[in-house]
Amino acid sequence: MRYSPFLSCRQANRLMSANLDRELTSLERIGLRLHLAICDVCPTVIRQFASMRKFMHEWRDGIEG
Amino acid sequence: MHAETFHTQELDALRPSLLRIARLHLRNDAWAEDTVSETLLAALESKTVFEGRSKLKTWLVGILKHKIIDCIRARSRETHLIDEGDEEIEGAIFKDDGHFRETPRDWSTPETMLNRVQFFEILEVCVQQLPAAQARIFMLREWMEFSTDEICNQMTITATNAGVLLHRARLRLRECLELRWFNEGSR
Repeated sequence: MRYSPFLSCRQANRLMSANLDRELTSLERIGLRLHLAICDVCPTVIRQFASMRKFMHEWRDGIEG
Repeated sequence: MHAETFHTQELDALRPSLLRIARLHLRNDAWAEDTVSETLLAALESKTVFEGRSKLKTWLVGILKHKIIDCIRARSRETHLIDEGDEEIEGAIFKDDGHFRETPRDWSTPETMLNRVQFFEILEVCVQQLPAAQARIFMLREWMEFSTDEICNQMTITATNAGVLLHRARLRLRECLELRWFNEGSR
């Protein structure tokens, strides 16, 4: 299948999640950056993913403390 | 220095907190109870001396985390199973053309103390609702802060499977938080 740099939101979401767990390949990084530049929804989701990580840490620190 | 030794009662008083942490990670009551018992036994045998209860708890949680990982490793045949049949979470969120069915909204951080307490209760419910395989790997990643490599070694799964499980867990958690918390206009 031919690689298209234009990702759907669904594809971009997989990369946004992967980006929290590993380093993206340069192709993935370019695709994600391009998508985020033209999509008005996914930048919100990136912030939500980052918030979830922060919430998890705050929650953990409250329970373990 | 007034170092005081701890007593069995002090250890026992911390059992519920430890059990809660173990249950969240293991998603199996019997395993959770076993790891907590092993933790308390190890604590008793070590006869380490502590100043104050918060240090005792921190120390116990440290032991518990090792026991949890031991348990996951020992049970990796049972725990790593990819949750087949959960492909629908992506289908529930995205249309066939890859666009969102419902536009995600901006999340505001819960500010007041009361709000925060309530928020973390909702977060706990949402984590508990994750399918077990997703929950275990998500907790290793976000609570224990293991790298993907470490997780793959402990759970004997491939990086691809780990990525799929973590992604599904995040999508589910996002949906749950949006539905149960951020959907309320007043917050």
